[in-house]
Amino acid sequence: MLHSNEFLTPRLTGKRFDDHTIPLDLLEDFAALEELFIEVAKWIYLNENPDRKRVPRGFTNEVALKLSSIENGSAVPKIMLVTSFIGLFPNNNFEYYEKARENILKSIDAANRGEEVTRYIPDNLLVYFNRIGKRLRDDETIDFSPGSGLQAKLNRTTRRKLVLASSNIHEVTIETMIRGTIPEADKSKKTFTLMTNSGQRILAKLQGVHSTTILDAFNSYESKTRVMISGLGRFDKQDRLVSFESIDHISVLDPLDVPSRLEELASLEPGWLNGEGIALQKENLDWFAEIFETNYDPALPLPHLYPTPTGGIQAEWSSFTHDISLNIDLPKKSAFYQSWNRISDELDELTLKLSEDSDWQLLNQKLTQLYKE
Amino acid sequence: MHQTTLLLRQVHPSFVQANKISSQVFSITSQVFRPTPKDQNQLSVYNSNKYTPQESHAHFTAIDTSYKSHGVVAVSVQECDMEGLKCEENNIPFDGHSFIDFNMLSGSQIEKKAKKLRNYAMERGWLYEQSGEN
Repeated sequence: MLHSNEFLTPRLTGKRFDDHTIPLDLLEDFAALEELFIEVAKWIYLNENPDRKRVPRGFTNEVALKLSSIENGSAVPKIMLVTSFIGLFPNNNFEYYEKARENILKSIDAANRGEEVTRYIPDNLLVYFNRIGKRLRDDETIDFSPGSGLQAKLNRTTRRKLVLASSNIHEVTIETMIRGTIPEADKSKKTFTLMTNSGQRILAKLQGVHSTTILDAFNSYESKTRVMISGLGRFDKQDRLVSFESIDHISVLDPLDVPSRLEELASLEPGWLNGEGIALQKENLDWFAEIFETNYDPALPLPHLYPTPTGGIQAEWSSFTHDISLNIDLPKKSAFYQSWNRISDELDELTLKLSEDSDWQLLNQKLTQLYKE
Repeated sequence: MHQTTLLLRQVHPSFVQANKISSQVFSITSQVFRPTPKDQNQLSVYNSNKYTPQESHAHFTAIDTSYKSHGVVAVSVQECDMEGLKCEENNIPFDGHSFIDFNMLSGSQIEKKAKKLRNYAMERGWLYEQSGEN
């Protein structure tokens, strides 16, 4: 016979939860949360009963956290604690699970306040936070105790504090996406190396459905073939990606992939052009990467991208009849468009405001027309 | 300098993208032939009567350790003439230094001429390309 109690109603906020749903890949995090509850409950029991060497028979049997529904605001999963009777007797260890809940909430609260978290969860159990919330994105938070006085809000920052509070853990697992080339692959060791655009080398396992794509990219390394890998990365205390725990997706990128090229350009230092040349500001490049991705017609060919000595970028296209350039002033978010007709020698020029959707539409229309000619 | 004299231009590694190693296909920006603010509208080139492309590359990269060149491309004096651009050998700051004069042109015309010169140079291909670059 099963017994069910409402146990947790965490509030998930962030763009992905605005439609009151929870992505499936976050559900495994809640499975890890269940394991943490059970382990913390056991730890509390043994602390309160120092004469006992182990928890009573049936303490963890038939105990489960179950998702019963998802309510609005942004997304609020209703999590029940389900226990069963042991033979003819009800599970009377519920108080330890309630205490475990309080301790877990207080540990997250302590991380938010910069206080000692091991007062509430032992050092060796903090490793569970490497699994809980690992796929949270920058704008996302799980508030485990909304409306209470506690700051039990788990986000990338508090997760990191919780995991690294353990004396035994030196790496934090975080969902990540990275671009680079594959200069090394070792079939005997079943490993490969991803080299990022900044030159950092990251070791990963060569296995599963992605092997063919990885080996193809490795074999065409000389042609600068780039890939984009997304998965769970391990980051060290300096927040540097050191390895991949698992790979979700890998795809070969277009040779003119815009974010990759912008990453390259971000590494240019002041004076990059033989003593001249203003460095490109990363926040400006990030802005351009996003607005380009949002507004540029994916049916059109990608442009070549080059830095300009004045700290901007120049996008260039070449059709059968026209050479086109877009000289982009990043701080002003404006651009000078020029298309030169190689046959008639005519110019078409205009200034575009890149923060205006309508100007992107105009650019798309002009390029579409030129590539038809 | 004669009509057939080539004007050698160094190409910064950031001005090459998606260069295909195994073929002649390459792409450089028109900025290679666009004077920078420091040039004051006089684009520096090497006179091919005094430097081979490889010698010009060696000379350029030895000027300062921060000077970088992926390789060397060129336009001819005749091609500059066709575009109404004057070329002059001034031998300053070194013997063989020359320039293509973009003075008296608007920004729009400079960009157009730069595109045209870039196309002449790409048609000609790399005259020297440093191995291991970009």
